[in-house]
Amino acid sequence: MVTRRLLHRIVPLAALVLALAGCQDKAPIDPVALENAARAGDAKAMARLADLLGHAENGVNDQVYPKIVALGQEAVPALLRQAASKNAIQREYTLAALGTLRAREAFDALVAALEDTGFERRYIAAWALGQLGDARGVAPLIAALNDDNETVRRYATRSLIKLDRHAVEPMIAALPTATTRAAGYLIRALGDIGDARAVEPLLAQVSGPNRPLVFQALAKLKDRRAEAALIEGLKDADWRSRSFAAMALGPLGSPQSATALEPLLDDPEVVVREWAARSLEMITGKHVRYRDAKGELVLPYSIYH
Amino acid sequence: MNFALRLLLILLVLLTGCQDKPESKSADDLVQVSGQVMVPLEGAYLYIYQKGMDLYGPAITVSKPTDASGRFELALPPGDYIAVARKRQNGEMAGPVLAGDNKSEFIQLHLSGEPRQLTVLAPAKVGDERRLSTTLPEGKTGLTGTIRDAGGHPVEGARVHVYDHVQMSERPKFVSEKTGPDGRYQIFLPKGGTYYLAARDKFGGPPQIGDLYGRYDQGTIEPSAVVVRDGELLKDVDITVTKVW
Repeated sequence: MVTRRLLHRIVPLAALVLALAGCQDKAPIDPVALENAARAGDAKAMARLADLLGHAENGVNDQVYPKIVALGQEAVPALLRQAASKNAIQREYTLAALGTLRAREAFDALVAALEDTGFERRYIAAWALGQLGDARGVAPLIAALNDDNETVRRYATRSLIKLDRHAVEPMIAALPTATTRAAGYLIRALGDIGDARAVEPLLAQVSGPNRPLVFQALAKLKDRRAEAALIEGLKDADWRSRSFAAMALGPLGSPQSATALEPLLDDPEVVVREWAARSLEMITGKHVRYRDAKGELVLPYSIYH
Repeated sequence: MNFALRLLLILLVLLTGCQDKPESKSADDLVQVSGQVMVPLEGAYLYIYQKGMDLYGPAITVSKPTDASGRFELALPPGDYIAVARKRQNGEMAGPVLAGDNKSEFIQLHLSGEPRQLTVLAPAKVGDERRLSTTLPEGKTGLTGTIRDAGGHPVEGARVHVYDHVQMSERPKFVSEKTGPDGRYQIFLPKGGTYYLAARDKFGGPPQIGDLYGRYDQGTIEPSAVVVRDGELLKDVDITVTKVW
């Protein structure tokens, strides 16, 4: 009986002691020492440093990230080993480091991450593919323009713009069969790249659902072939379309555009009047006033200052 | 023993008598001396501007933070500059200088090739407990939306910066209050117009590695213009922020 009572007291106490022993802090993390050891060629230190990219507590991964990047190409093998990590934070930081280091060896891992819809932060793969500058990235990035995640679509667009002329022909080829949403991003990217090959394919989209975006893209291409379509757009019922067409005609600088823009100084929408005045100023080189919301004649401010 | 005690007493009396007596003066004869004891300011930045620049906007160059002895060092081409030292209590390099922050006067600097030594006084700013001077009172025209991270989760503690020019390079024209746990923001504007937006967790200066930052755009190089009409409170202008890598 006494022994049982004693056991009743000792066992929970022993469990508590064991639990507390388990709670004891491990050796403190010293990122500086690890960086120095990794720099000296210690593979274990490098692997440990890369592993710490998954430790968000107390911002450890934020401290380690610049150290990994500073280690440069030496860090790439350790990073590649955890590029498919189940720890989403570790995977995000790892892919970011591989992108910052422009590690071409990471191409397959980045494509796999971009296509892994279970990886919430796959935007980082879209970003890193743009960093690599590898033309093989164009196809998966175009596919990502249909991703359900808006951030992925935005980063894929930006990366296609970074891939520049490598992306032009594949994007033009994808445009006619793309969904409305994906076509919108293709149009934006083609506009930003500014390659003259895109003018006719964009004009073919001008009557489609992305009409205002086409006007914006054509504005960046600054190609006279677009002028007639843009002047036609000034008559659109949608005020956004009218304002984008007015915005686009400014950089083209044709007297014909100026004549077409003048009536828009009396448009019912203030923003359309403002853009008409701004574009007229760009074309004629003279100050043009428009009527603001209070009915006063004012000059448009320069958004390009 | 008695002798020794007496001798000690005599010596004490004599020594006391040797002390200088202060010359008594009336209050009218006294000159008041007061002042401040200055300590070197650690963690301050020296901002260099060129003439004609917005002296409250981004500088052409900024020193590293001053060390424990208040020292800074910069290398500039010969020319005329305006320098100002600032130290914000929040430790940030940019943003409004609030009460309690340190700032110097603007210093005209003519550099002709010879090294220059500057002694800069940067007292703490008193009064003027303004918060975000660019935040406007409630009105009818403005923007609302949610700031989210790459996973679609609301971001707390971020602000929306509103610019009226496409480069978004100078100081924002208007800045929202910080978002709460729901990531929601609301900002009122004095009038409708074409605006460009960014959201971030830090105030001012170029975004640094590790900061949360995102523009309102669709992936394009130029940010997307947000057109707000007079009297319109544009809803669901949501912005995604990601880490700056």
